[in-house]
Formats: sequence, C-alpha cells, structure tokens
Amino acid sequence: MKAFILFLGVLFLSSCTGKLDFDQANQLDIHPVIEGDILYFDLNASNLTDQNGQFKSVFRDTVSFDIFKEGKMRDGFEKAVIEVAYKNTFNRHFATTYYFIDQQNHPVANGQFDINEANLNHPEVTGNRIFTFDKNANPDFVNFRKIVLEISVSPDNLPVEDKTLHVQTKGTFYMHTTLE
Amino acid sequence: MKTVYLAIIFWISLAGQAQFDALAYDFTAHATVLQINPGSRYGYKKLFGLPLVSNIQIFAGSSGFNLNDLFATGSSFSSKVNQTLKQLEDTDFILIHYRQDLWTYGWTDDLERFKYFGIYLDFNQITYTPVQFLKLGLNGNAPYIHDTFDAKYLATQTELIQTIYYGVNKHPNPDLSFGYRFKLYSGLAQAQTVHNSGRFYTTDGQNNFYTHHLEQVDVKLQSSGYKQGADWHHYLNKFFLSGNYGPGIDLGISYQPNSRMTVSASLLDLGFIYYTTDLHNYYIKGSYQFDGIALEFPNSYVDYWDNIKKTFKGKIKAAENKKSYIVWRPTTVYTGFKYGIGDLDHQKCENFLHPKTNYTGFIGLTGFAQYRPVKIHLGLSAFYEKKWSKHFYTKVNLTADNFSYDALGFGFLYRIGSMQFSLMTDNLWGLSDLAKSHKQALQIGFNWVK
Repeated sequence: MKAFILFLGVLFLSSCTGKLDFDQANQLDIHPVIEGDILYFDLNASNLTDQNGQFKSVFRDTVSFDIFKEGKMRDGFEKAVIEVAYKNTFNRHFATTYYFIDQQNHPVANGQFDINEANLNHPEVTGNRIFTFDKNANPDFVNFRKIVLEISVSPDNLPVEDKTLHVQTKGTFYMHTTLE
Repeated sequence: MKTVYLAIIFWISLAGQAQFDALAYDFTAHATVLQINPGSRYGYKKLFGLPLVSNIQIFAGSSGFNLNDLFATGSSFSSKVNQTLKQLEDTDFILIHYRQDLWTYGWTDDLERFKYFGIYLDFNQITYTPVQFLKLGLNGNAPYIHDTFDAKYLATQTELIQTIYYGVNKHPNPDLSFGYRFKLYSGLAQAQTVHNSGRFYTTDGQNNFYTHHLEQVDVKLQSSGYKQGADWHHYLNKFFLSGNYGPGIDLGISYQPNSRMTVSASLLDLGFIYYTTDLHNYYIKGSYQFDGIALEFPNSYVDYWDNIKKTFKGKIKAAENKKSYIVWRPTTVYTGFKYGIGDLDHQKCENFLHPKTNYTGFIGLTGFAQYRPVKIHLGLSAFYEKKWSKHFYTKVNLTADNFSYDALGFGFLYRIGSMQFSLMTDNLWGLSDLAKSHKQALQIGFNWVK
C-alpha cells in the first residue's frame, strides 16, 4: 500500500507541462480574403432609348458602399481586385468606367475599359478586365464610399437593334489584421 | 509554474455522466459503483457518503487539439492556429465535466435489496469546433468559395444541474443482479445552441460570377437561469427551487453465466429537463440568395443597399422569445465483460452475497456510447482489476475514445476501518506533460461502507 501511495504521489507531483507561452495569443495575424459579387446589369434595346424614343448615349448609376466605413476595415485593407466580365451582342461600342468616389464626391480611383461592338464575324463579344487597387500605391482607395458606373455609347442615326449587353462585377478584398 | 497553473486552469475551465468513466464501471468494490451501473453486483449493506466529498469528478478533454498545439514556444502563433485548424474536424469537441455529490446514503432492507438516495451537482460544457466557420473567419471566404458551411456544427451546450435520486439494487439469484434509479433533475442554469441547421455556400452564378446562398437556415440560442438585475437571493432561491425540472431514470443489469464470467450493461440519464424560468431565446430562420446589385440606371438615385436589407430581413427572420424548451440529458450506455482470474478469495469478502465472484483478479472490456448534440461519442476500454487485500483494490485500464487511443488509467480503493477512500485518474501518460494531453480525469471519494 505504501508503495502505491508513493507511486501516486510521485506521479502527481512530477506532473508538468512543456514550455508554453499564453501571451502569444495576442499575436494572431490573420489575412482574410473576402470575395463576392458586387454588381451586374443588362442593357437591352429599350434601355438605349428614353421615354420619347430618343437615343441615350450615356448611362450612369450609383451604388453606395460602406465596406470601408469601419476603421478596422480601412486599417486592415491591403489590396482589392475588381474583376469585370462582359458579353455584348450590340453592334455598338461601349466605353465603361467605374469611378470609386469618396464622401466629398471626389474620385479616388477608377477603372476604365472599352467593350467592342459585335459584328457578323463576332456576333457575341466577351471579355474580362481586372483592376487592382493596392493600398500602398493608392492610400486614398479606402476612402471610397460609392461606385459610380458610367457607360457611354456613340450616338448614331441607325435604329437600335434588339441585342443585349451583360456585365458582371465581383471584388476580392485582401485584408491583414492582428487580433488582440 | 505559471504555465502549469494556466494549463490546469485551461483543463478545468474547459468543464451527468459526462464522459467515459471506464475505471469506475463495474468496479464492484467501489462504494459508488452503482452510479455508473445501478445493476452492479453491489456487496455493501450500508453506505454513507461523506457530505461534499463522497464523489468528486473532474474531467476535461479536447478531441482535436491540445495546449501545446497552440501555445508551444517556437513558431508563430498564427501558423500554429492554422496548423491546428488543418488537423481539426467539425466533429471535434471540447468537453468539461465536474460532478460533486453533496450527500448519499444507502441501506439494505429485509429483502436484501440495497436502497439508496442522494443528491449531486454537475456542470457540463461541450463545445464543438466548427472548423469550417473558424477558417472562414480567419481566412475569409475566398479560399473556400465552393465549399459548404453547415450550421449543424455550430453547437455548444453548458449546464449546471442538481439531481436528486433514489435507487434500488436487487439480487434475485446468485447469477443475476439488476437495479434502477429514479432521478429528478433541477436545471439551475443552461445555455445552448444545438441542433442547428442550414447551409451557406457559393455556386457559379447566372447573373453574376457567383450566387451566394443562405439555405434553410435555422439557428437558435436558448438560455435559462440568468435574470437581468436579479440579486443573489434570486439565485439562492433558484438553487433550491429552480423551476426547471425533469424526470430521468438509470437502469442496469449484471449477469454471471458461470463462476468466472460476468456480463453487464447500464443505461444512464434517460430523461430530460423542461426549462421554464428566466428564459432568453434567440433564433434566425430563413433562406436568401445574393448575386450582387442589379443596376437599373434609373433617372433618380436608388438606395440599392436599403432594398437589399429590406429583402434580407423579409427572408431571414431574426427574433427573440421566452418560450420554454426541453433539453434531453446525454443518455449513456455502458456494456461490460469481466473474467475472473487468479485464485478464489476465501477471505470474508466484500461481495457478501456472492462469494463465488471473489476472484483476486479480473480482466475485461468496457464499452461506452453517449448521445451528444452532433454525434454519438464512443469508447472502449480493457482493464485489469486486482484485489490485494480486503482493504485494498487496484484497477488499471487502457482506453480508446474520442480523445485518445492509448489512455492509461489507474484507480485504487483503500479502506481504513469502514471508511473507503477512492482515487481514480485517467490518462497517466498525460500527466508527464499536461500541455500535450488531450484529456485528464480525476475522481476522488470518501465513503463509509459496511
């Protein structure tokens, strides 16, 4: 019996733990990458004319974005990649611009690209564009609060054909923060 | 020393029959063996558990990681967190159990039935590690764009329960014993989010690159026991009359087909608690899809986000209520096989009703299954039990369960006069380095037996 008590005593008293550092829990660096849809649209023949049947050469729409309203988001932001995909069956050329606008309505960044017209040989024009906004290259990017999308179509006197322009947009936001 | 202290605090703070209690099962010389199997071949005529110390159990375990995985010195904490997440599964869990018997008393009646009653407190905490959601939080959704995140793995349950019981153990013939125990549970405090459902996933989209789905989400958080602004009188009253009650039953049987062999089984905590007081319940329910903002190029400004918020709130309902709810106890099944080896013990034995069972040694197997919110927990243990003298018994076992496959357990019973002291500890290997241990368990008890 004494031997057992001695054995158990030694066992418990000799229990120990390897070298641990609980303070390091304050040093959790994380690099979340958030990817998601932002916006899309379809333009068809009816969109290219107004109520009076007059040709519209410029389209504009505004979407507010609160993603950088929080200070932690602004501080943790590293890079955004905005990817656009389009499909055009109009035999018209579109000039497209994404403006990233701050609270004072000043553009802090933009992304511009052309969408070529379809033709008999290429009845459907598809393409992708990628715009990268790096915090180091453009620290003001985190100040944007809305996106203004502007599309220009060259006017002509031809009747508007029954075609479509479809545009998709997604964003990938690279973040880095330390959880404390 | 600080790290040892913190390690112990971690294991304790991570806190029924909460976990596989293989050492105590069918250890028939143990004064409180009937707690694990009410049908064990109980040999004592009288039992008086010393108040507060008749049976104290502490268990803490983590099936997927240990302290060393996260807090060892060397590589960065972030890389260790990521490495730990890689090795975790959604069904891994952290379990804490603390039980303290407040009082117990038993006696043998004229028909040689052993009757007993008592009261105990137990605290249980189980949290599953929702790995997919943890990865989502740490790494964002981009690396897992086509993965599915299932809400059923969002599961945690904490409870503080007081149980009053009355049990009977019978020996209708020398080969058979069985027993039952009625329980009245009193839920002092409880909080849980379990049995959630619904999925979050992303598919390739039609309108946009993707379509993000929240599908049939049904997530609820229920709690009882906290009342804002209540003083200690309120909680003291609740300790005696909680208002949250439920019945339960334990059953057990032990059969000896021949002089050496014993097979046994028990069913514990078949019951529930109906929570009716100090309730705070929250739930989120619904389905929603998102594929970005559809621009309309209107003549005037349209607040698209406001429209999305309204649509979201219409489809995903979030609300709170104070509805009563039922919580089933973690019903547990034990099975046992025991084989007598060594010499027959001709001393005046503990098991006074069945001297033929008194071999000086036993080997055997104990099986375990327990109902839990996300999955059934299983365990298997092989043991060797040795009677050294009338006063001194030991038992060693090797256990495989959700926490480890090679946990070495050791327990002993020692009597001075009629006072029996028991000490059992599981996973002796873990004591050599608590930081690397996946579980530790300790049981001590002081009981007067005759």
